[in-house]
Amino acid sequence: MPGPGGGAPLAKNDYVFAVTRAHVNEQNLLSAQDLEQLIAAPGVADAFRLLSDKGWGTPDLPPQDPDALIAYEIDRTWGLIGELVNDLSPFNVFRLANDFHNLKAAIKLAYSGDDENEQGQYFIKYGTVPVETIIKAANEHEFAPLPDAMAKAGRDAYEALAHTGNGQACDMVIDRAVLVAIDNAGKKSESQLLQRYAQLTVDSANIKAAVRCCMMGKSREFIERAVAPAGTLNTKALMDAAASSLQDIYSYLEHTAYAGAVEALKISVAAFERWCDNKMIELIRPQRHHYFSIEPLAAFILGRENEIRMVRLILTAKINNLDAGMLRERLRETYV
Amino acid sequence: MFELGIAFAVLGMACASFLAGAGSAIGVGTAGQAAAGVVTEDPTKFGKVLVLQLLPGTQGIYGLLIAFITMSQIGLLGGSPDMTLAKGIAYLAACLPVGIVGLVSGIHQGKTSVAAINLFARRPDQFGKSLIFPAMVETYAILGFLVSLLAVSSIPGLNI
Repeated sequence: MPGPGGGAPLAKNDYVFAVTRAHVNEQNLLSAQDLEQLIAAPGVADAFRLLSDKGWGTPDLPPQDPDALIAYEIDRTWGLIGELVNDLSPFNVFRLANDFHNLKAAIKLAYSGDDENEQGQYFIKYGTVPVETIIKAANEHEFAPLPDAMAKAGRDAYEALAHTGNGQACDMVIDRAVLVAIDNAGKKSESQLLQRYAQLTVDSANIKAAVRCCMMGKSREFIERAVAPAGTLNTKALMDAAASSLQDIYSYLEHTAYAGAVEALKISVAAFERWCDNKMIELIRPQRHHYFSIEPLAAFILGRENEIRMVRLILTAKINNLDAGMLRERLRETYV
Repeated sequence: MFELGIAFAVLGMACASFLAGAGSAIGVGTAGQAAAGVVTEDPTKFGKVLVLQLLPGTQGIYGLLIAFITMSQIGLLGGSPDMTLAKGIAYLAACLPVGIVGLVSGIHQGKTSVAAINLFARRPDQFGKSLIFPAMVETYAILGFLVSLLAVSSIPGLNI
């Protein structure tokens, strides 16, 4: 689907202007030191002031509203990318998660019959399919206008919700479908970085699903519905291990590219998520010195998303008076 | 046979200006995209990124100079444009170094200029160093130019 510009993808050498602008904008990303200052800020107002000094937000935003600030910064990121490239489709691997999130929200709202006027808050912009199309499909139970993978997931999820009345059944269908969609988008991508992003996203989600199922003692049948048949891992072996014990999962992972994650997994799923995020930053960091392909733009988007995620975490912790030490444990590495 | 000689000489002249000019056009064009990217974000850097953008432009000038000297020597700018086939081929061969090296070095100097422009955008205090990297590529363009210049200048004295 064409992006804001609605044009064709840029030729390889035409990314120089876009990449240079992205690299210049990287100068404004928050460093580890900036995040440390943010954590050390005495109060919420000080944290917002620090962010404002770093160029975050605009005076028009409601004061000290983290959601408004985060939404503004996400808009700014995608606004810049939309300005730089004619076509956002090479970044579908990032945008698919928004589509499937929106599909999940639309199906649940259609099922519960909630007030349409309040629906806006549940949806995320910058997917590949307009939110209105997804809402219309869910409300009319007619998913054909959606892309094939979404349509199938939509139908299955709606049926699961209608038959069981259980939101988790709906979530599982869509969570599994989004991983398959991201995996396919990664395989179609010509960019090695985007391929690796898709693999890491899918594999880490499958590992988390397997570990959680194992911790909760779920049946093999349940595990099969939770683990997506995608990614680089042998999902059959992973599911067998999940049906057995955590130790079997660790033993299986020791022989994969995720051997380094086992120690983190032994601590907690949150520590594993941190390991995955740091792995991603490690993957994109070399792109700071590349100038002629789409990959530095993808790295910029991921760097910004990582930064926004951390700011959200810090602001939430500040607002809820959470311990700074706990916050530091959850911080990820930065792109710059 | 004399007509064929002048045809080869003109082909050499065309190669010098066309190949070197194309190299410069690609290099300056590529560097220009990066320069525009920096100036979009920070217009105060215009002057310095312009210098970096223009570095790959010299190959075109070298090619043009060789083409002019060749034109002058073969009598295209006045005089009698007659020469032997061997001399015509000698002019073609003499023009090739500036043309081919100009094309290749222009493209690569453009890419190095892009990297240098990015370096300068991140570290404005390192402008001097950022200038050196693309300038190194210039060395080989100058070598090609010198070989063509010496060769073209020597051909009239050859007894062929």
